[in-house]
Amino acid sequence: MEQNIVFRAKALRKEFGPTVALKGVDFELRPGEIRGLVGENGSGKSTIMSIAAGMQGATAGEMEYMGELWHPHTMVEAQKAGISMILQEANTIPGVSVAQNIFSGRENEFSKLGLINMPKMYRAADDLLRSFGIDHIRGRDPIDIHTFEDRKLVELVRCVDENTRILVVDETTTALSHTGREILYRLIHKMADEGKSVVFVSHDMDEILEQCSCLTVLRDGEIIGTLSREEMDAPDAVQRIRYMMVGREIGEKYYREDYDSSCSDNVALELKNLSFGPIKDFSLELREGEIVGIGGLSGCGMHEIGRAAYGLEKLRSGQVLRKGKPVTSCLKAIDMEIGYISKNRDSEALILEAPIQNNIVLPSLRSLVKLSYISPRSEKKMSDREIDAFRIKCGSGRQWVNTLSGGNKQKVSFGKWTARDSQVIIMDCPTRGVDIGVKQAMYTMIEDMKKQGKAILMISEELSELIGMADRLIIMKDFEVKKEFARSPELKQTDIIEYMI
Amino acid sequence: MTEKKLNPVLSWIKLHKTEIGAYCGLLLCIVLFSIVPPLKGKSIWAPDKLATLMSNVIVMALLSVGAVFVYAMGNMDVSIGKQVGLYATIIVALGNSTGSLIPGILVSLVIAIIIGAMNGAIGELLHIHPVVSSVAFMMALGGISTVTYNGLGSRNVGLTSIDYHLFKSPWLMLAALVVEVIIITYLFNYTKYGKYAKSIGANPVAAEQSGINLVKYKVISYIIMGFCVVLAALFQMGFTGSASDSTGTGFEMNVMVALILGGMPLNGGMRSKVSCAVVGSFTLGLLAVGLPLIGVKPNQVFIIKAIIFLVVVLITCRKKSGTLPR
Amino acid sequence: MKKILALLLSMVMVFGLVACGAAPAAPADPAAPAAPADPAAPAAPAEPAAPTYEDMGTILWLSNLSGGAQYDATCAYLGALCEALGYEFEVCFGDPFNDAANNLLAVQNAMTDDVVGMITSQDGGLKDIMEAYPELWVAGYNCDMRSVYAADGANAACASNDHYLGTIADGYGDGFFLGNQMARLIIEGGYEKVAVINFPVFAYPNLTEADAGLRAAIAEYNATADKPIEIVGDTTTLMFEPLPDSWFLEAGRGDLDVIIGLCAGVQFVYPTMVGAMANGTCAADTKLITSGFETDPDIIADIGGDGVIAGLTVSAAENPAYGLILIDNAITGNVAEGTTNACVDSAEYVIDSVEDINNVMTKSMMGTGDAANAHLTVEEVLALCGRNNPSLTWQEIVDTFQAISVDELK
Repeated sequence: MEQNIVFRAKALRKEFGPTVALKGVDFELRPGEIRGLVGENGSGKSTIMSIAAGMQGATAGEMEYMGELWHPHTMVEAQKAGISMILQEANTIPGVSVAQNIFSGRENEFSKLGLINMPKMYRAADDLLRSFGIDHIRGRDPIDIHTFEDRKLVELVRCVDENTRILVVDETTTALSHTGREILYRLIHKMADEGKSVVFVSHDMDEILEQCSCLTVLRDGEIIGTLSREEMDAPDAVQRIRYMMVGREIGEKYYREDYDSSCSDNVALELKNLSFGPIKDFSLELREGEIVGIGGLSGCGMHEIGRAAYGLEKLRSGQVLRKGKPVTSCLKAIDMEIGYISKNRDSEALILEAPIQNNIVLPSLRSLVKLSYISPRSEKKMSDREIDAFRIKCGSGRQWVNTLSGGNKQKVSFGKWTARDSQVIIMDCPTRGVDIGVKQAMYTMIEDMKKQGKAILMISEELSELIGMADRLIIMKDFEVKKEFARSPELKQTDIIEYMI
Repeated sequence: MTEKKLNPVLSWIKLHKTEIGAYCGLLLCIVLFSIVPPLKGKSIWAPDKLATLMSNVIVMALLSVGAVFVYAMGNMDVSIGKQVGLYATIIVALGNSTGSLIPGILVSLVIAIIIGAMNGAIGELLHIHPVVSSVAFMMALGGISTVTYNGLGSRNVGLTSIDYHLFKSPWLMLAALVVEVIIITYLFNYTKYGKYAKSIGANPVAAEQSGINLVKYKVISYIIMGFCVVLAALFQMGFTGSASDSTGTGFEMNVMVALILGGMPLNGGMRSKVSCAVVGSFTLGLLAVGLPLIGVKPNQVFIIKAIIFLVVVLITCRKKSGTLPR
Repeated sequence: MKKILALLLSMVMVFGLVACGAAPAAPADPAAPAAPADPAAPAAPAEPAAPTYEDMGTILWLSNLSGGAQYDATCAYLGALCEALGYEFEVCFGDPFNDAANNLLAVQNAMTDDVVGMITSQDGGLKDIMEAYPELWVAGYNCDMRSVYAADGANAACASNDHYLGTIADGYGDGFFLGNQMARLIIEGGYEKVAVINFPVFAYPNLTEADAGLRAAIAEYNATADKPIEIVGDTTTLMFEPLPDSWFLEAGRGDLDVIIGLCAGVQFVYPTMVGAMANGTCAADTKLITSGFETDPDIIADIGGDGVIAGLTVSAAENPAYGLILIDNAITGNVAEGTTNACVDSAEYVIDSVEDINNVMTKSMMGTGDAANAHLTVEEVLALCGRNNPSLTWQEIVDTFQAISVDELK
């Protein structure tokens, strides 16, 4: 056993019934490393670390931690031993205070004779929060008044203490605001300097390349390879990593290759002086054959604009107009050939517990009615057409949507509106959580839609996506438009970021 | 991730285990009550027992089939028992004063439409669970019933001039049930009304964002059930040509038990089927008729029904076990 | 795996109960049941000279109770009597609210080919039941069959049906006389300030008749009495809810001598009384006279003597035998002379002392559930049947039942 390996997994295997998530993986972690773990959905990147952190057990294989056999039964046990993990989902306890969250499980450090000294706990919490550089959260605050991002920060504070040797950050940064991310990055670099280790699991290539000291790629439950810092700095690093993640050459083309922003003069959708909620006086004209992108940090208001454009928001003043007529509800929007793909894919955009066919056909059902009768054959025909067009990977249209992978689910969402032949499509985070190969196909589809003269409003938190796809790129911050960029080969992320934060 | 090859038969069974469980229950009853009673000199297939079976089944089945629309949306209506009581009373009362059942039926239909519309709309417009408004109706109708019978000076009203023996015919009951099943199945599976109801039950937000007017189609679903309630009330009245202040008590619970026994998911959605209503009603009916035939005392019938209910629920209503990481 | 286990378990359970149900009764001959069960041919000619009565068929009791002392006593009594007479005995539960359709359905579900007679405690749906089963002999028990005897009653058609044999009421068939009896108890008890509590007329019309009877009797008494009895206020009607605590706050009710509970007083009035006495709104010496039998030891202890319950009327637990005798007489062709299908008043226990209640609890069939303690033992009932005593008249049978009294227990 070498002295400078803090964690090692040998032939780690994990099966979920017939599904094999990890196929006998060997993994080593050294002190002072910030290791990035990347891979498509289902590659096993989350599974390895969740086993190490005690969230679930392995089917086979063994682990060593600090030179000894390691077999945690619970996450609490792992955390006490020094391996902490922050998850993507909400993991704070609602209804109690921030301090109670931070010290959950450790109440007897503050209790005497069974009574908990709450002021002492609040003070300890405040001290801890400040040591992380977090000033805007106090220990006595009820956790529910804080945003999702701040709650993530509280989680972070809970997980990390002096004993922590390995911190696993699992897809957390998507939830964090810019400040939050800065706090996190400061923390992991501090830990690395102190000789501790961090494992960073993420989909965000830019972030990983920036923050990690080395990078491991997984695919289909196996480790494909590890890149050192020099290899990560190489110019073709992104290309190479993508290749390793997907397993085949996906070609050069990813986003649009043209820089032709031309479109029709006809206005497909007009947002006129919208005021609702925190948004004041927002205006936008979307033309036929145009792709308008809206970007910014989460919470800047762009998602709300998308909802409003679809008639989902009650407006204080202003109007959403399609061909001169106001869009007052989403039902009217659909009638006016507007489609909407919500960013909450599983809860709003799709009916998970329903067949693919039903989902695709739903907005168009009225057109299939013949004297109140809807023939199953016409439904199947419409749905099969979309399944073929989008190449949705499924056994049949009768398969339920919740059995599909994220990318295929998103294709179903698209299919709803192409089946309806909607002319204006508002898409919110269209490729989030989608595998690279599928993403590529989707960008091609979106480009085709543009060529067909459809109007597209693309809201996304992925800057590279917006830069690659949009004719016009609008950046929002604090619920108002900060700057508009035109499509251009010289447009770089760095130009844009300063307007976002 | 790679997947091992799944045995197609096993996965079909797993997918349809709710239906299989429900049909198994029915089959078990049929087999049991065909084998055991003859050992004691009785038979469930004798014409009078079959007629009794139909009597046990008809009202519950008519109600349950209609309730499929409401349960498919993930809702429940606890006022249908009292509604049956009210409509039966109206049909008898107007039958006595006008000499025909038609006015009573028409008035009941109007009231059913109103109550259905309110139950359907209130939940959506006021953002409360629709069960709440149906509870309110249940209490209101109960009060109206008590006041009415108090005013009439008697616990029940009976038809004085109209011959109601037609409604006792098991063939008419069967025919009515078949017609209702056909109509409801058509509406539920082949028109937008049923498809929208199932979508609303599966995910109301997604349904709305896909163009379904929630208020309108909830109201329509409740109204469709309302028609079925009136039909059920007609047959309930037809047993004895009378209605009392306790007619219909507990019917909504029977409907719930029948539907669950038949495999209807309580949250509604795409797994809802009209067959759940029929299978569950007949299973309960068979139990009511068959258990005395195999020697079960009246005290014990209820316990057995409860046990069977629990067993079927255990088989069919399991929650999802565990979650896979991404 | 779990599915199979669950199915197996449910089958085992059902079969187990089947076995339990089958054990006491010998499996019937799958061929047609014995001849006497068919009333179309009066049994006597088909029988050999000394009739041995076996396989007479099944007697069904359509019950309005599902448990309790009275239910247990009735089951034990009818069970023993049926066995002695050669019948099987089955119970089925009617609707708790006497709903016609539910009663009909209960009977239909319990009906089998060998059921020859039905003793019913409910009259709801009787017309339809008798129409569905024209061969069935029907007699009532603890039921005044109001809907049968009233000219415009829902079941008036039964009165002229020769298979309807009559009924014995729960006390007085005509509520007026119940009222008279209550008045007698008031007068005998020397009470002067009285209040009356009742159930709604639409549910219990006989109790409203009782109220009228009570007031009439008191008025008659007051015409000639030194100390007239005062009935405070109008009769209170309880809508099947217990008496509210505030009732005692109204004028004149705080210091009553006695409350007459025409309703089920022990359940609906007594608890409120006790509470009111505890907080002073009801005088500590107010008494309650009502009907209905409870076996709760705390209530038993409060009957008679200094107890709050000064009088409890309960109809005799032997009443079911009356209907059984009528049915057996009809089946065996030994109808007693002078038999009518009129409603017969029944004997009642009037329990008004500690000695009475103790006797009831220890020596009567009502209190012990043991048929051996009946006022009319199995042998005595057999002696009343036409098959054993063809010269007995109907009136003599009725008198025997009406002679039952709690004093016999002493």
